[in-house]
Amino acid sequence: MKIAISSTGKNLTDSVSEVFARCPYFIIAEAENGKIQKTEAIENKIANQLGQAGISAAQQMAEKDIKAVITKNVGPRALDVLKQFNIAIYCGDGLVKKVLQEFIDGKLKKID
Amino acid sequence: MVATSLAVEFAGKTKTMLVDADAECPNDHLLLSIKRKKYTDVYQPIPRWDFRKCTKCGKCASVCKQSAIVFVKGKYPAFVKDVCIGCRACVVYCPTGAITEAKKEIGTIYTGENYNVNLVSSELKLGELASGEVVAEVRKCSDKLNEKIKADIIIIDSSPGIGCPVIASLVGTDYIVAVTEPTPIALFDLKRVLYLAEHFGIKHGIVINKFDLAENFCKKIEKFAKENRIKIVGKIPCRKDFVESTIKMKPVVEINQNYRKLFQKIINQIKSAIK
Repeated sequence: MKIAISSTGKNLTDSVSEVFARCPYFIIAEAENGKIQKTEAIENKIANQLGQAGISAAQQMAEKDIKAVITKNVGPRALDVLKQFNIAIYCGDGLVKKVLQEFIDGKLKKID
Repeated sequence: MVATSLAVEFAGKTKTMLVDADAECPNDHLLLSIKRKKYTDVYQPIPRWDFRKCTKCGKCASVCKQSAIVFVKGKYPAFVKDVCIGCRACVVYCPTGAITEAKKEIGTIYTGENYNVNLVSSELKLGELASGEVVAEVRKCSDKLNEKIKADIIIIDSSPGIGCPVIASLVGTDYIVAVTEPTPIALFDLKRVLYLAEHFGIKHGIVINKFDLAENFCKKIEKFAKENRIKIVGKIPCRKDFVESTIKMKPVVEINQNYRKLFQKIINQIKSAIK
């Protein structure tokens, strides 16, 4: 299962971004059998897009076959599109590393 | 302010209808202290997918100029409702007929009356984009209401600029009163809206609002009008009376009778131009 976290930086020691679509980096993690198998940071090229960044970001998530997104805040349009693609949205706060563990432990709250 | 003042002035002698076509920010009911009653809602078509017929080809997304349809290979298309402006391109283009039309509410039309002015007011729903569509609808409604009211004059208070709502306000009218101010940006917009009037072949004149605010720049507008043989039908001074009329929600002529002459002059010039 592929998870995407909106992050302020490239590393697991960076924090979860305040925003979803306009965060500087996405950290893509693969979780299998209750463990993180591998992580990869990708630069968010739509962070500075003029408009409709939420829609584009959600589209990108669907293209990468992400099943769950972790962020602090998400806009209405991004939320709408993510839901339509059956991508779960979770609210997380703090270091990416810590939040990932919380996700595996099932401690994160869903955003509806 | 000019539209409501003219409407009140017209209403003294003739049956008058005022259409507030500034759907993004309607204020004529405030300026005339009218309590509006809801007349009807305005709807716009939006697509609805039948996923049993959808082959996930993505053609609907490729023709959507608004990018309201999000397509990812191998998945059913996602639709962002509030970005859609109801052009129906996706409905037409779908090769399997999987898209049918549904509708969403984009605005409301109200009616009301005060100072002998019959008001038809349009209001765009918060966050919606298709103000042109709401204006087109309020024009239709005002025509329908006028079958009963039988007004001798219909004044349409348009939004500024030259966009869709302005075009929808101008079409089919006999005369355009272009209200401007002595500022560079207002003159720039004035030139564009008069170009539009010229294009549609509608008679037009200029009203300079707050003309004494920048007399030097006012001369520039007068020069432009002279060069292009456009009549300046009125010049309105910048006075506190106008602010007071807004605060008290009354027409300015109720505050100070002296302005009647000014608006009567504008009306006379319009009348002689249409004849």
